[in-house]
Amino acid sequence: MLFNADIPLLTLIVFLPLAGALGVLATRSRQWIQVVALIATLATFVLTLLPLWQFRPEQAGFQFVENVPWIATLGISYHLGIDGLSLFLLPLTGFLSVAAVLVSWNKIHLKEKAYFISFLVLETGILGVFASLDAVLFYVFWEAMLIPMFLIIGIWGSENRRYASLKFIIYTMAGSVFLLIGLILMAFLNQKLGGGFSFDMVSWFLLKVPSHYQYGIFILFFVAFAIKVPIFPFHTWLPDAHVEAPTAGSVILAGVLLKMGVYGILRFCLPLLPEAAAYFTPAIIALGVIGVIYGAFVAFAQDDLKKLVAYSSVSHMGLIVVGVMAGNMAGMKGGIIQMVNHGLSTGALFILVGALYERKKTRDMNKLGGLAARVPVLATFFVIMTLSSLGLPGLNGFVGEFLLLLGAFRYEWWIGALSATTLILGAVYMLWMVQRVFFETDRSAGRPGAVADLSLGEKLVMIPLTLLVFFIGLYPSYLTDRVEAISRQLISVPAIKAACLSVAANPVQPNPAQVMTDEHDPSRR
Amino acid sequence: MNMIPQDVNLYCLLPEIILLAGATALLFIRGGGRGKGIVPVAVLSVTAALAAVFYLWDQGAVGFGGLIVKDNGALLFQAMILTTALISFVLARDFLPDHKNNGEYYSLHLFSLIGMGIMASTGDLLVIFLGIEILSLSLYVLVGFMKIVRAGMEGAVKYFLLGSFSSALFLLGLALSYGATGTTNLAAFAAPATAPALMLAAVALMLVALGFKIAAAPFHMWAPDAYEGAPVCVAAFMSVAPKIAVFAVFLRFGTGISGPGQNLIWTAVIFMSVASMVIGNFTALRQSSVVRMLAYSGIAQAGYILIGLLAIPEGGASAIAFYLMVYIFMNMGAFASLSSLSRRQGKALQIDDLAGLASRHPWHAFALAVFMISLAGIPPTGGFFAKFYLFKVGIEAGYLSVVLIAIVATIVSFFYYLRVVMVMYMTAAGEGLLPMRMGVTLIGVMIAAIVIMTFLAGVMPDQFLRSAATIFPAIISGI
Repeated sequence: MLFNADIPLLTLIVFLPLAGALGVLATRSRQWIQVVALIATLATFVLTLLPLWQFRPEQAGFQFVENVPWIATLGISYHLGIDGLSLFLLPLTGFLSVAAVLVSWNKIHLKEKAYFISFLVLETGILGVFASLDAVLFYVFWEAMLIPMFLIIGIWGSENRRYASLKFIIYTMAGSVFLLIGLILMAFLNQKLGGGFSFDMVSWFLLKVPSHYQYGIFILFFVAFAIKVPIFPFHTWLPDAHVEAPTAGSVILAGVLLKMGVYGILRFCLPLLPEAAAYFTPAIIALGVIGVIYGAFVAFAQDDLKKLVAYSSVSHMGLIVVGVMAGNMAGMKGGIIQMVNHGLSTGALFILVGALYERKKTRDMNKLGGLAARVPVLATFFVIMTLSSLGLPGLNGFVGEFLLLLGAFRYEWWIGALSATTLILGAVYMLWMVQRVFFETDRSAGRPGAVADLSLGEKLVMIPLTLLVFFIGLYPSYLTDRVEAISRQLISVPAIKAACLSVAANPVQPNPAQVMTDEHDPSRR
Repeated sequence: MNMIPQDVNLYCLLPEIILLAGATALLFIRGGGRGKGIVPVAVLSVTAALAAVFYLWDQGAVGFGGLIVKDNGALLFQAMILTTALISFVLARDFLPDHKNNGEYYSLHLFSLIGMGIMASTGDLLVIFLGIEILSLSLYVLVGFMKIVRAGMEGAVKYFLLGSFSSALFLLGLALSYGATGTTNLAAFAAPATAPALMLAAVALMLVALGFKIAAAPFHMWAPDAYEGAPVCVAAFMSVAPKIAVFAVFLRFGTGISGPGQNLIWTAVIFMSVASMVIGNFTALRQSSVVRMLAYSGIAQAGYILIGLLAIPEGGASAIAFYLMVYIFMNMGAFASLSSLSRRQGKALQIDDLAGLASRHPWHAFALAVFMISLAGIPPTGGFFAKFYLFKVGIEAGYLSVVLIAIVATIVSFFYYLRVVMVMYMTAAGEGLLPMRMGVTLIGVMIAAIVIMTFLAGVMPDQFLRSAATIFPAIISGI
């Protein structure tokens, strides 16, 4: 074993970017700032790959656990650990952070130092969110990460950046303070039900929260996560933030930040509050389906490339929410895998859109066209990522979307049918976008100037991304095997807990063996 | 009250005696016409008082027939007040022109410290009143210390009129409670009241007076004018120190109020808390002057702290103590950052004047941003855990609805705190700023230290929380 239990691997992963930020702070030359940032993100990425290596899919519970008391007076501990849910999100964050540094290479001419420091602090925050097993620690990372993102959008964004950054931070913070109240209530429940006043999530998982508390706490939790995902009525911050953010900011935002919402739902709402989750499932699935269709139609109407990709994210994230709430193995596995896939393909699309914008100084599709002949490499990557995003078999998107739709069909056939429109609508707006940008005649005013193809740095980002897209598409069992255990746990825990709560009312003892069966679906019959 | 104390234990007034000696000495120092030696004497006496506080720590002292009680709670609050004064001295040294009359300024400052020290360490209403008066009279003069500035005089007069009115209310309440119980000792509050109505009126009047001193709504009207008119060093001091002293008094009142009026008093405290949070935060949104914005933010912060008062049996006292400690750092830090900007500028600093600060003075802007983020209660700064602890004890005491209002108020506060950050970082440089002194200055070093403390309180608050919990043990176990 490369790393044994004595070495706090997760701590290293989480705080290495922060150390990198201090390194950037101490660097004077502009060139070296980028180099230091690149080294820090690369090293972090390599470290995030180690858990993939040593993760034991068959072992239940959390691995690489570190647990020391932090603020004992308030029952808060420094508790890190990962399971199948967070396993792939760490390397995804590590990878996209490297990509973010590479696509910003030599392109930032204003406060470079602050820019790279913001990104590194942001990375620490995101990694911390995915690795925390203590609710307050989770919350600290969750909030601390917002400030650098706020600065990234607000300082290095385009024209309307101040509005967008304020909207972003107010929306997400407004949700998260309610989350905080929910967390404090959970700690009191932990105390009331026999444990101490503790924010340790592992001990929370053992709780059977009384049903009259579940609904209130569920709403407090859900709003925070729904804003982050974003689920349909809470999505309005997303297009603004995406359009105004610099390319690297969009990459992190779409690639990782949105995943934190789904991660929160899976980490908190489903295992802790199963009864409320079951109660609200139809409503949440309805919102998810609305998001799928609404996002697709709005994307269809966009002329701005970035807005189109942003609304396609709303649509895709809606599908993920439908899948994970459907309460069966297919949907759950599909949702967890699709989080990674969406991060890769949408992140890549934002990189390419940013590259196009740099070259043509416009994101308006009415002013683009015929670029395939002039930037063949960019166009090739763009088409691959588009196909991945709309779920072409053989590419990564297909695996996730197929499982998600299967889960939706198993939940209710017409839900599945409605969600499946994403395939058609997605194909329509995505392929139409490719056609308008790359294949029709050039619509730009005046004589077309020279357009450079992808630079070395951009190629260095896109090649591994493309390889990953193919790898997951052709060898999906690498992911599905590792999320098997956690998916089973996530769909069965609500069933078991809900069954136990209803024992008093229902004299018939539920059969745990039956509850645990693979494709059991508590919401049907 | 025991009119002729049997045991005059001067030992228990050691910090106050040191301060008094310093204050008296300062009145005679002319420093060769340029005020040399004034600041060192002032700093020395505060430091000596602080040393006396640490000397008395854990051994405690009781004197004057129990009128003065220097227990660890009192000493903790006094240490916080003295720290605030030290920070404010550094600002004053930078702000006030060298002058032979500066002795008055520091002397009055020391007198106000004596008043607050007495407030923090007594359980007797009459002595509390003495402390309040010593504090208030010194502050009235300090607010109007810049005699030539008209706004300063206006603020000072407003503060003086409303302040003496509130002192009169306190005195009236004191008289009523003496009539009801026959003693001025707070311990009498715990006994079942013989004249509940009279007692209720007494407590209500004193609550109003104390609410005025911490600028809690609806008794906050004076604060923005007084802060804006006062020299920045005084505004910084009076936005923090009197709050600490008054909350020390509040903690002595504690849950002792019994009888039928108890619920009414709690309702009044809830009302003050909610009104302060709502009025403070929403009015702060509309301010264009930085100091006025901070004044309204201070009103809102008083509202948050009052939540802790509702939860005294559940550990509200240590939550209040922790919040106040963090509040010293973040609020004094914010004023300190502003003072080096607004120095000798003549007119009040507007938020828009901060435009482009991050490009010109990146460290300075970073410090101010940290204080704003901490005031907004965003981790990983101390402000987060301070709010977290308050909300926790509030929920524990069963005031979930008040905490939810506080949460909404916090969301509102994000707008104006983050607005400062936005203006500094996301706007092109404006015209409003005077060039600052470059290089290492005393005030810069101090701001850096405060930034570090703000982060420390946010990253490892456990040490302080643990000692606070032992000083103010929760009556219901559960911390």
